Amino acid sequence: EGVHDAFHDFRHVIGMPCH
Amino acid sequence: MNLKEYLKSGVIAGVVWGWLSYLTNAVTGVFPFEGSFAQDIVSFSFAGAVFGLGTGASLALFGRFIPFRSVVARAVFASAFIWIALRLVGDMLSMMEPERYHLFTPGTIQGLGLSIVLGAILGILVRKAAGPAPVNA
Repeated sequence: EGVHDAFHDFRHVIGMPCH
Repeated sequence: MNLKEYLKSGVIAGVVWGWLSYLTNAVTGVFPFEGSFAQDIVSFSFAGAVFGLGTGASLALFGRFIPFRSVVARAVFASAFIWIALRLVGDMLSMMEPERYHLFTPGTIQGLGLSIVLGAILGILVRKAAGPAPVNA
């Protein structure tokens, strides 16, 4: 990580740290 | 059951779990979605399948070392274990780059709950795929 943008919501929803 | 069956169950469980994760967050409102529904449903399906595949593979390879008799309990253990391991690595990243990686407590609680749900779905699918337990074995 565009790859980040694609999975941004998913990572927040499952509780992983993200921007 | 062979590895292929575990992986197949893992992918199916993962995709269903991805949709369920989307639905759960839509209800709880823990994280306001930033992407469109169409974009998110694709990314949640794909990412869910990857998570399910990883959990299914772990269950197939290491399941016999998990100290529970029920396959559902073993799947929940494997799924939660993987989630906790990933989260600990996320904590390390957050310590190294706090501006880039934010920790988010409500999301963490939701994520741990969802990892348990993934394990439960996978365990049920694996149990169904394995068929009925032998009688008097």
